[in-house]
Amino acid sequence: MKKILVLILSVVLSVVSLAGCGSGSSNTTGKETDTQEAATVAEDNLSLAEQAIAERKESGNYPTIVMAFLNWTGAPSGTERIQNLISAYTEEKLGIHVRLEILDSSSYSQQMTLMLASGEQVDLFNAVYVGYSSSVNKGYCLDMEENDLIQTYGQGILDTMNDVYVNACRINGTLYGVPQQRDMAIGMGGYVIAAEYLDGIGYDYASMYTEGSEFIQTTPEEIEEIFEKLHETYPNIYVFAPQESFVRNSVVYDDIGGDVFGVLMDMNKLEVSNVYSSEAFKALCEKAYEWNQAGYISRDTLTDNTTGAAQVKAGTAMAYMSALKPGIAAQEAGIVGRDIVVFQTSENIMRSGAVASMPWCISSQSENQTAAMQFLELCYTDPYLSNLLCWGEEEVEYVKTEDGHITFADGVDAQSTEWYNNVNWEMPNQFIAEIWEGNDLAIWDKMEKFNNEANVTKALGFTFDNSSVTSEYSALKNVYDEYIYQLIYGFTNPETGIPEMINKLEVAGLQKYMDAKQTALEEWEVSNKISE
Amino acid sequence: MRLRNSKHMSRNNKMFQIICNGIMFVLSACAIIPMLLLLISSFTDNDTLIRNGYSFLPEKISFYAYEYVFQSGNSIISAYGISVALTVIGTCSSLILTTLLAYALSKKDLPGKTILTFMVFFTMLFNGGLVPTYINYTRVFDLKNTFMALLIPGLLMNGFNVLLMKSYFVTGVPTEILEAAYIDGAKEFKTFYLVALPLAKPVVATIGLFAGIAYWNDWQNGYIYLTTRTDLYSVQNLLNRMIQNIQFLTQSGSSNTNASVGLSTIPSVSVQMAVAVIGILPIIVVYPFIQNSFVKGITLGGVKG
Amino acid sequence: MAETTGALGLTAAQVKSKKMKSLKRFIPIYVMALPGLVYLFINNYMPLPGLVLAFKNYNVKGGIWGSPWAGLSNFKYLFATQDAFIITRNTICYNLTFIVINTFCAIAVAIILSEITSKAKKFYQSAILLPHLISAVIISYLVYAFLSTENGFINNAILKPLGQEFISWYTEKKYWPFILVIVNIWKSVGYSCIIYLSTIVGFDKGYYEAAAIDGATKWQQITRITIPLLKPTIIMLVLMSVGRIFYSDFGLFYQVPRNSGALYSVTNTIDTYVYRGLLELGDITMSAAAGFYQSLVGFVLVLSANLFVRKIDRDSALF
Repeated sequence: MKKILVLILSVVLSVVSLAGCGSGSSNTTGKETDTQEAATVAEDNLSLAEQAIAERKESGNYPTIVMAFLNWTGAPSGTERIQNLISAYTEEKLGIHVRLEILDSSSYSQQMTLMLASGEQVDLFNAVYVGYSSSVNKGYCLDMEENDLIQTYGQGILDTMNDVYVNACRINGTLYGVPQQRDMAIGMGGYVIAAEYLDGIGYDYASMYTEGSEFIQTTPEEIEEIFEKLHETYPNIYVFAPQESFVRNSVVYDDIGGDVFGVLMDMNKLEVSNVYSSEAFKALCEKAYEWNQAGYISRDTLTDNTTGAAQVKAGTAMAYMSALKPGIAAQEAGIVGRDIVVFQTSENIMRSGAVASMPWCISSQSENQTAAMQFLELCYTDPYLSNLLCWGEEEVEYVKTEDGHITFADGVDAQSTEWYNNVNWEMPNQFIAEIWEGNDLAIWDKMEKFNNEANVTKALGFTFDNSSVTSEYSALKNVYDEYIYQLIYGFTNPETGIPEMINKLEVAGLQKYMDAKQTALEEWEVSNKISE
Repeated sequence: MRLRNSKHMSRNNKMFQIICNGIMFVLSACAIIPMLLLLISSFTDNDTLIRNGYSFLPEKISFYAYEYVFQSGNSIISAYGISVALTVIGTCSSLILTTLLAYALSKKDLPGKTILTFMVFFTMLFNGGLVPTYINYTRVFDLKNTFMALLIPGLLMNGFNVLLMKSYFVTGVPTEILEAAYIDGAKEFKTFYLVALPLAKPVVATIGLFAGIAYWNDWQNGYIYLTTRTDLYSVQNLLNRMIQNIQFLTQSGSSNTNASVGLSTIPSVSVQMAVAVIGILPIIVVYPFIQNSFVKGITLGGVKG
Repeated sequence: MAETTGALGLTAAQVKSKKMKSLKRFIPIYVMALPGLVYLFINNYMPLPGLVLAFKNYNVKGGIWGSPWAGLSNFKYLFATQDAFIITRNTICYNLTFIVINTFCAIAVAIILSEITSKAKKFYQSAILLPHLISAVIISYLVYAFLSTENGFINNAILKPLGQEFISWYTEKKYWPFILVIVNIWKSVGYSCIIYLSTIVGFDKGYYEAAAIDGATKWQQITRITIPLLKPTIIMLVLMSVGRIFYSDFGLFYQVPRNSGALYSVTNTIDTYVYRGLLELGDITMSAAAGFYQSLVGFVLVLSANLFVRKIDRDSALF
């Protein structure tokens, strides 16, 4: 009797899903052979997925899936409540329970390493800061295509995410993790300047915006002029607050392998070179040195780790650089607490590490791989679940506003809220969740456009296993830490400083490291073309 | 003769006292002035701190840092409760283990004494490492997310304290007294409890103080072993998480704009100051009471006569 | 030591039975030692075999025991680098300096405190203990308050009025050995002196009274009585410090200089080097290797030092 019911159920569902597949989602590229095959496979196996759910529900034995991820400030006080809501929902939908292990950002890497190395139950985790390729090396991540796991039980993920991005998460051809919906590309050369100072020098920024754009497209020379005028008019405030990401936000390069020792200076060519011997880097350091000597930059920059935004907020600086994305203007204005103007002096690019920097992985030691995969899929496809993860409980944490946004519920603010999941970029699919007040309602469409139109590196999806050159890496890192900030904050004359740093890097084994990368890159190129 | 000597002595003594007091006064000032700065900074408006740096006379006062700390999620009050319970229980247990072992090792003719002492000392130098220790305490002994995880790992007894106490027992508790007790018919444990221990009061108080401070200040155990039981956070654990997260956010904030958002609501600099003040406060309050054990001297009477 | 048996005139048989009794006597002693030893076993010895991680290429499938051997490759990064000499030199030199200076200061403070009779004694003791209680991060901020180029106390309140130019403290190497030593003393003297103080408090006052009657000055009393009596404690503490000679206070060498690259050649120690190098690698085998290396060196040094001390003064040796 039960078997017949299941059969009828699966037939009905197959019919419904066929109809659904026809309309398709805007994110499915569908033309790729892989996806087409997978889709067919998925339709036949839809019954398998449903079967698994039904079996669990029948037996009454609901496995608990442990989902681990980081929150900037640790587990919010409402974790248990939200966890119970999620569990209740998944019990009904999937026949599983869920436990959330939300860890502090500062301890995440150490904590996850300990948990995974000691064999504690962690079914689903995000590999940010733990290191995706090192996790794969140590064997923590499950091959998601083993026995067609993801095709059978996680098809929704493949449907939601762009194939290019999914493939970018392959390591040596195997899919160990899946990316999430967020900004993959970054806008380079972004300068954020507080509006009041621009008003003070009489700069007419209002007329410079192109239609519908958040940023003003301009040139580096223009920024220099602005800085000069700012310094003249406000000699007691520092003009510019450089940060660690100065080079990353200014110079177009692809830091393949996740580190700066050997990069692609030309993103269309698979040639590894040293960014620190490039013209662009020299120009940046010379500029920084000029600015520092002219007094644009605080003399405490080397030791003061206050962010540029915080400095502008406090009124000690007037401008800083930021990686750009849709919605950044509203975001930074909120942080800085005053009106700002965003200038962009360069293009939008997507680096090779952009996509696979924070993938969701299933633990290779998980005892409930199917259930974990199904839960992960639900996170990608179910708006209710996504809202719970991103925003919390409706009416308790947030309420809907008239114009389609959401905002704080009554009596709740940023300090007192019990669920401040300020890491929505980490969550599987924030695109299907609600949109917070102050953000453009069309922001996710803009985000997709932003991602799609960026200059994508040829090495998208390349990962580098540096275990054969780790001692070079730690030596290089120490040299890097020693020299870089003095150079990019303009405290050292680049004429002498850059050659010194390059020399020391070479002694530390830079060439060997870059050669290892080049070899790996060429191997990847060969194997990648074959699989495509 | 005696009179002349005592006058000579008291003049000498007075000079000496003045010098000593003077030196200590200066040292104390050096210790306290930065603390004062710390206190004042915790009451300074965050933006003012960023603008003007640290100052004894801040431009703008603000209690926001304290508001933030007390309001943020987990309750500081219950954390204090945990800290106190942990410190009291931990210190007592630690003293028991340490004194018993130290006394045993101080016995001159104990067979195997050298080996045992060496084994204790060895632990001060070699450590299995974080991962094996973690595996030990979470897989072999299921301590994760329990109170025991705060109490047991690393702090309950350490080689340094044992050896320190052992040394004191050896030099400060003469065997004659112990022999006298045996002759009087006292058994081992009684001798220890009634004779040796009272004589060792200063070192017991010292080790107690060290253990107490170690338990109070510890945040590592909680950091590693408590992930879901946030109600078991001790004060230092809670506060240090806050600092670590702020540090992490600040470091990431310059390279990851998302971190910047997370950081923007925290008055990061003044909060760290406030956190430090909250952590020290109880010790400052309690310490004078414990001090008595050091100040009181011990007269041994007619032993060495 | 008085020969209690001989003086009481016991027979050989009685002496023998007394010896039997004393062996039996040790059983309760072992029982007393048991809880501590059990804890030592659980806490320190059970995880100890995990040190093999230093010699392995860890893979979760094999776990600690099944992972393949890596020989000495995990140690390479500590030696095969141009910084190896600098970090080793820094670690050793600073530790030696700390041992000498801190011991001297702690003893001096302990003696002074023990001599003070006024009520202020309690105040002094509490005051100097305070710096030990705050974390390295906060200390780094306090130091920054003094040494910041723009707003620092020294630049603004001392150099400026004197008409001197501002010193960029965090980029000038030459001051830092002194700064670090001073900060280290500031932080630890209040804590370290406690051991010496409690030892001094336990000394027989009779010695001092006798000396005073003989007309000895305070200074003579200190140098002739107190310090010799402190000898065992001093030696023990120094030996223990020698064992940790390859370790360094991470907070002091990483946080206080604010991780300023310009200062690396005088502030980089083995611990900070390892931290910087491994921060993004998350490699547990390499950090295990570093720990093993530091422990091994300290161990060898302490054993040697202990043997040396044993030859001179048997009782003062650790074992």
